[in-house]
Amino acid sequence: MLAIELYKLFKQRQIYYTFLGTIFLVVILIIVAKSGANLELQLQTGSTIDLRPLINAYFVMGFTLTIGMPFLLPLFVSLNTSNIFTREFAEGTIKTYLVRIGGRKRIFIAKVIVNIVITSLLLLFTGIISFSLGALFFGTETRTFISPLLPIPIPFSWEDNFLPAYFYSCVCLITVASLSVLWSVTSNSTGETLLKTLSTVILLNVLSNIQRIKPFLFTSYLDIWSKAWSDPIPWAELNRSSLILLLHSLGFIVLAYLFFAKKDVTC
Amino acid sequence: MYGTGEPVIQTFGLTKNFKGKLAVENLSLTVYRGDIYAFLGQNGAGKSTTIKMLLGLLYPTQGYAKVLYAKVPGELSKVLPKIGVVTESPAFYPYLTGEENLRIYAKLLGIRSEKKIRDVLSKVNLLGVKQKFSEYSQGMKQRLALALALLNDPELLILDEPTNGLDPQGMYEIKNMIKDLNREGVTIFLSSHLLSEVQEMATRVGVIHRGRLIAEGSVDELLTFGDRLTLMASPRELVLNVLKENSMVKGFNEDGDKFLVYVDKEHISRLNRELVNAGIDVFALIPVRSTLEDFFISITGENNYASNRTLQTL
Ligand SMILES: Nc1ncnc2c1ncn2[C@@H]1O[C@H](COP(=O)(O)OP(=O)(O)O)[C@@H](O)[C@H]1O
Ligand SMILES: [Mg+2]
Repeated sequence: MLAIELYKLFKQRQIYYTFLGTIFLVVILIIVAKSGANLELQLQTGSTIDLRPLINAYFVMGFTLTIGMPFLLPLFVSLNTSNIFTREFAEGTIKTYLVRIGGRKRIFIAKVIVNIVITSLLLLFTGIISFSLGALFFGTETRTFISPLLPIPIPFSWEDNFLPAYFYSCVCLITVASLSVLWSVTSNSTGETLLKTLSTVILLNVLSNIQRIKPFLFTSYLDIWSKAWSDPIPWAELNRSSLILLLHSLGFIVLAYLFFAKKDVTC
Repeated sequence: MYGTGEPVIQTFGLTKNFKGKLAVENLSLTVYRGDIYAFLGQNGAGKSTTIKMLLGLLYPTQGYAKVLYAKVPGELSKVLPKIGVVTESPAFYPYLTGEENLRIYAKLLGIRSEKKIRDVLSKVNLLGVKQKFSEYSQGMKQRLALALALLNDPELLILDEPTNGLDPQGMYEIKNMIKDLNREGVTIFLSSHLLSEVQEMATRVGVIHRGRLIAEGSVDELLTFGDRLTLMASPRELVLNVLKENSMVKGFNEDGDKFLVYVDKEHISRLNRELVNAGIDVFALIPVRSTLEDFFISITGENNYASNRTLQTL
């Protein structure tokens, strides 16, 4: 079952677009970095530091998250989810499955797992591609990293910065993917799923400007990955936020299942 | 093959309300093992809605169904391996070929043999077709759906307008296949809006009209509702007078130079006498067996089938 869901996934051309999309993102980033835009830092003393010599593969890898996480990566994730779920409703194939094999729970669980797998793969791919392209163009010699938040060079390590950053990004994206699953089973076209997911995230982000409700919105935690570059790294807070995100994901999935189990398949 | 006493599909007061639109209302029907049960009704009558409820795709607003003794939808998965289904507008993964689509389902059904896949594909003339499903014609889609339905040697076939979109040759082949399968013991439940299409093969018929089952029985039972005569006689005015006045005549239509007259068998010779006594020349008075269309028209009082009928006589 799982193997078949994976097989179907990788037979869909649309899936590869999201992977191509991340390559595109990295390439653009490199072009911008090569052109040296905005990389001269004005200090209070009036002197400037040219950051360009500090650019390296690590910078590209970190900055890809900075650029990708607010919008593009959630978009890609949501695109994949809607190809996994909504497409089956839109094209009626879920009906064929249900009358031939049957069992709504089984196919739902398989799809949720595949969805998590592809989300993680996408992020892993993003990391690998940004690091390798970065290495190709800028090398890996300089052992400093320019924080994506404050463009100042800071020391870094794989274990403390990069792996956690990508790990927590993955948690964030899985939450987006789960939200997308919820919208998927209530939409009839892939575009609808995409729109609903992104609007939810964006609207909640706007709402989180009201400080009083901010802690209660899951979107407030979608930037936790960037804290992996704080000094010191707030591990306790990171883990608490991740837990909140994962609980939200679980909630979205359970809700989606309840919807799906009772849904009239009208296609 | 005629149905035996064992019910394989039963519905009990099945009702579906689509947000205020009553698509199926209190529908109770029974299909017996061995039947070719034709589920007849006009477009929009509620056939597909009923079938989707039988298959657990739609949840009934009221009532329930049993398929092979399994209560739907809860226990349906258990009996699905014994059922083959062709839904309306068959859907397969468009980015795969027909064969790849079947292979997915074969794996899920636990069918190991590639030969089985080739067998069903060749049965529906799709063996060796390398196109992706998205490039299939309507007829090919319909045939692939049938291949999938046959993949597990089902004992019950549920077909929603299986000849939809097929050319006459394709229709003929599917009909023959259905008859052959039934001869081998497969129970068939098929819906159609073309009465003549199923008349010669159906053993039992259920007629659905505006969501309600308005008749159910064997073809023979349903067709003895009256007898039809083709009458050729003149002059026209006098003939019309007699047909209008005579109490034996249950109804009539004028059809070119002929009249179609509905009258009980035992009254035929008396009608003939009275026509002659009225000074009418009777050239021909030929009993015609009623068709399901006549039945349908007589029972619903609607004659919406005229256009279909001309199509069917092609
Ligand atoms: N998903 C739906 N939502 C609302 N109305 C529907 C839906 N599906 C079918 N209907 C309505 O229910 C009636 C029966 O439709 P259907 O079962 O498809 O008829 P048939 O298969 O006999 O042509 C029609 O009037 C149709 O418009
Ligand atoms: Mg229909």
